[in-house]
Amino acid sequence: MSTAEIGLYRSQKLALRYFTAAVILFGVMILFGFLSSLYYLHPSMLFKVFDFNTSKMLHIDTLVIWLLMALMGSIYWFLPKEIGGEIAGIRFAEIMFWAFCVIVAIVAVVFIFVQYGHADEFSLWFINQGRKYLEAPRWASLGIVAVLLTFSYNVIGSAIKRRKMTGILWVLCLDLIPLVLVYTDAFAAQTNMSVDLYWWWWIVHMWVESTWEVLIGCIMAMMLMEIAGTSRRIVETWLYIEVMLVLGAGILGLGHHYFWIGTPEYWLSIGGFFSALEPLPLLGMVVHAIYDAGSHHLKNTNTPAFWWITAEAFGNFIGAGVWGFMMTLPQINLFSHGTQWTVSHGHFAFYGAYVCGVIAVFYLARQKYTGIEHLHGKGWWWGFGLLNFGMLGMVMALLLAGMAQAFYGRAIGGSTLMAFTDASQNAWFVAGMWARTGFGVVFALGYVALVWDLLAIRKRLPQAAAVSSPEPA
Amino acid sequence: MSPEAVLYSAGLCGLLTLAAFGYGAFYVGSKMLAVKLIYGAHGCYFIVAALAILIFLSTPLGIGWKILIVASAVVYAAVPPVTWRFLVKLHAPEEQHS
Repeated sequence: MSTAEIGLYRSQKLALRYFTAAVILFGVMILFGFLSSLYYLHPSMLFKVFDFNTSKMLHIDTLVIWLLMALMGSIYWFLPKEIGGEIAGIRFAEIMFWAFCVIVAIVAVVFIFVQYGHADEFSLWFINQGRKYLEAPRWASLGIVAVLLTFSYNVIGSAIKRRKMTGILWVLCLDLIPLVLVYTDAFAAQTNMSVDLYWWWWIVHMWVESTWEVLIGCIMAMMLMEIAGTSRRIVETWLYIEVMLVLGAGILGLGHHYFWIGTPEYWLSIGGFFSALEPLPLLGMVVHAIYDAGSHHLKNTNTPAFWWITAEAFGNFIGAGVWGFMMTLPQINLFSHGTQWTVSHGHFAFYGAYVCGVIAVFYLARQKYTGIEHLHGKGWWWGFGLLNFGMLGMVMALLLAGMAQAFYGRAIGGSTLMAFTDASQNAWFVAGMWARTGFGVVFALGYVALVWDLLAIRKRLPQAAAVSSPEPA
Repeated sequence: MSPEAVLYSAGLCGLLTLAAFGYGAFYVGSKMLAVKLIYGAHGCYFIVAALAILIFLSTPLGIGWKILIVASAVVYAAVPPVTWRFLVKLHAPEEQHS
């Protein structure tokens, strides 16, 4: 056990385990993302051995799980400082971490070796629920609910035990309610596809987008106080504004997912209107990010974390704002929905909104763990540069391929199966998919550079001074 | 909507938002770094306004969506200055203290 580790709370040691698991799953996600991209170039690859749908399923599900683990780890990291002591129910939280890892491992083995079963209750409970993002069988989903309940108890119980409730904690505690409740939507097995999709989008939009958006807002608030010395009054004011915007534009922005799934026509107006409003607050966030960077003269105690936070503000605006607004109006969305254009938007928005933010927390935790007072240097640029360049290249390539699909397959071909097949062989589409795979390799190299940098921080900075430690657990 | 109009309309919508991003970035830059950057902000906002008009006049989008886009282009003009004033007011006590 290192000297720095002795100074950590048990909750923070648990956070480090969550971060380790998250980084490993991040790598697994990239691996299956790369494999999935190859199917577009060689459609018959591994036919009936390991099909595209299984690869894509592992890519998407590991995305959700690694980000969830990273977000939970971030809260476990910051919570002791926020409440001024060890969290409530830490032993239970430690047990649930290992339970979470075992659940993920078993589900991954079942997905890889069993893949799917018959259309019966047994398959729903033990093999695959067959709903995108929510393929995990019911027993595993119940396990995730148990993990989330434990997490909620840790946060709310700690606030009650310590009799401390800050503005950030209020927002966090209230956000835990939809974090648990909306996830229970994972168990539905509706036979009507429209009804099923209607509720399914609550998970994808409300749970993953809105609830997580507030969660990352709380994490960034605590992060900014830590690395830039921003006052609590300022970060809490912005957090309240963010919650207001999520409630105001984000919730009904859900409507843009309801366009073509058999819901009433009024969703076209509601979804289009609120989605069109979404870039406005994002522009305010960009102004704020530049203001913060400038007012501190780029001074901070952790340069990589600072730049990853900045990348988050920009990535969020361009990925969610620009890419989203390009395709959100119903008349355009009729052609772009479900093409690689959507995939491009999804990649960029997720990366901007969450990935950049949690990488910033990884760097902060690594700094505190290794006992470095000021983390600067240049090694982190490789990971930062390659990951951002790789992602930018991938989304541009996917945009090209998606526009080709919308143009040839949807608008000219009329969305028939033959038109889809023709569009998939179109030169623009194929070029886009090749470019996506190439930039995927760049992104994977960025991941390797990031992991190397996180591991090598202590070696590269032998002059590190000991950082002030919190009270030992 | 014709195949060309799909890409044309989407491209204009994306460029409009991107120009709004440039406007916001240049606006804050002009306040923090160099006053001359305000010309960049004005230039970007001119592009926002021009694109909104172009979308209104030349795309086959419904009239309701066209009005919404023009209205949002007007609101974009206010977002950076209003946010800036709010930020300055919010940070003022800390800056006086330091």
